[in-house]
Amino acid sequence: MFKAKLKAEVLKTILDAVATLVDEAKIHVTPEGLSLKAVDPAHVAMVDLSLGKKAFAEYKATDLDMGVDLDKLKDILKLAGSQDLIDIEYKEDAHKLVFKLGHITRRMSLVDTANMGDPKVPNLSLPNQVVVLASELQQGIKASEAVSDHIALVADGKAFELVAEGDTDQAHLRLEGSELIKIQAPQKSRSLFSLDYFSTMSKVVKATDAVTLNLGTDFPVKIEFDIADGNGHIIYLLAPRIESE
Amino acid sequence: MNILRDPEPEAALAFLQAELAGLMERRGHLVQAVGLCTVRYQGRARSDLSAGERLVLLKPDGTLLVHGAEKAKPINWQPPGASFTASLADGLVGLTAIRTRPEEIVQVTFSRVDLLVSLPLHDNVDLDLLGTEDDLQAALCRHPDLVEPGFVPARRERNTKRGYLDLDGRDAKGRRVVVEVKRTTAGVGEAQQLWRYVERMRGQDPDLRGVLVAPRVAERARALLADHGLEWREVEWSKVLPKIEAMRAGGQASLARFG
Repeated sequence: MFKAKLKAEVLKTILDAVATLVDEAKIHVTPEGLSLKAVDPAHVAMVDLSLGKKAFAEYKATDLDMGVDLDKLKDILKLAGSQDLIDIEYKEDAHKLVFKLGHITRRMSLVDTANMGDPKVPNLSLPNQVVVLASELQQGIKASEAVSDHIALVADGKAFELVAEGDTDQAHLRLEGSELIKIQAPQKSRSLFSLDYFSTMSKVVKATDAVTLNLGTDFPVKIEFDIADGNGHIIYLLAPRIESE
Repeated sequence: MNILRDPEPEAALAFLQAELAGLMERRGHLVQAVGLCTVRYQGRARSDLSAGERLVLLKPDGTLLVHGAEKAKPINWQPPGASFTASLADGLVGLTAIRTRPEEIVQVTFSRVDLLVSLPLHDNVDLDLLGTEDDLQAALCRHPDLVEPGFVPARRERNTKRGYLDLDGRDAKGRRVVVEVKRTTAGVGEAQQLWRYVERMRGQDPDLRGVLVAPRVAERARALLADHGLEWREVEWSKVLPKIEAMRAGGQASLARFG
């Protein structure tokens, strides 16, 4: 059983967070909330998302898995304004999710979850941690996009840097000390990432929220932040590009 | 690879049962069956296809394709996730692909089997076109020696709508060099394009050099370039492609490598 009511913008955040990586996702429903894990076909990025029942205006559920076609969900969300409330109910006999928005009822067929495995989350030990305001990060990404298709994330002692080196131009974001919410970087770390992936991930978080980056050298970055006013949480893992010359 | 030609129905059944068991165990073999068959589909609708000679492909991920002698699209199919069974009744060899949710069944019935093939296919690589014009420009930027030793690129117009200037830089003596790039044989059109640009710019910069870079530069294009004091460089794809490949790969690691 799954019956819930929530603001369209919460659902939209989830969709934005996941749809950039996969077309279909298996949502795991429990009495306490939703969660999902998905890895993109190239195995470069993974999302691990949880949304507690407090993120919902109403929530009642038992344990179940739902396979959702994210393109369809996107179409449904286009029908709603961000502050609109959406009613969602799982109809087990028909294997459908029923959405009610205003005077519209939209029934969505679910995808068979039998062939949707659960991605294995790699167990990473990342030495450095940086907590930064999302708007700072987003500004750095904006500067980099004009220059290159990849960025280096560097943490060293009291400073965090985002560096984009293009064929001819460079962009550089440097934050240190009180410009960061927190930094713990006992050893210097540097990893290179696809800007495309990193940028879409960073767009999901609200500009005024904090983003935690866990970093190593030539190692994946773990990006963590809260969604839905702290009632939900997203963890992204992004594999690095290994520099070879 | 296992091959069976013109098998008796019993032999065909034994072959298919053994290979399909392998499929279910994820041994990853692609199974092909060719013969005279009918195809019945039952599910959201129902269709019957009368007898014809067809190629049936059974893929390890549970995809079924039934191809006729013509057209690109299969005449019937099941998307990934179907489970396969083989059967024999009244001398007819049956292949069934079943999907739950939505419940769909494709039943192929052979009155004659001509060929059965089972072979492993290993393919983790996505289809990827290497060697676009953008790739070539990027390679020249990253390895400017391909243009000429000492060349330093300054600007690359990736998405220009004007399209007349691919690469801009300076040579070893500090003279400005504009480079026109073509991924296939460069003809008179490209030579003229370069000349139009250089002609316009030489008023301000009499030392401006123009270079046309392509795998091959046509005879008539060379003549035109020479007439206007322009140059050309032929770069071999065999030399550029490995560089492009390395850049493309960009060393992107998979998460599977970690943890």
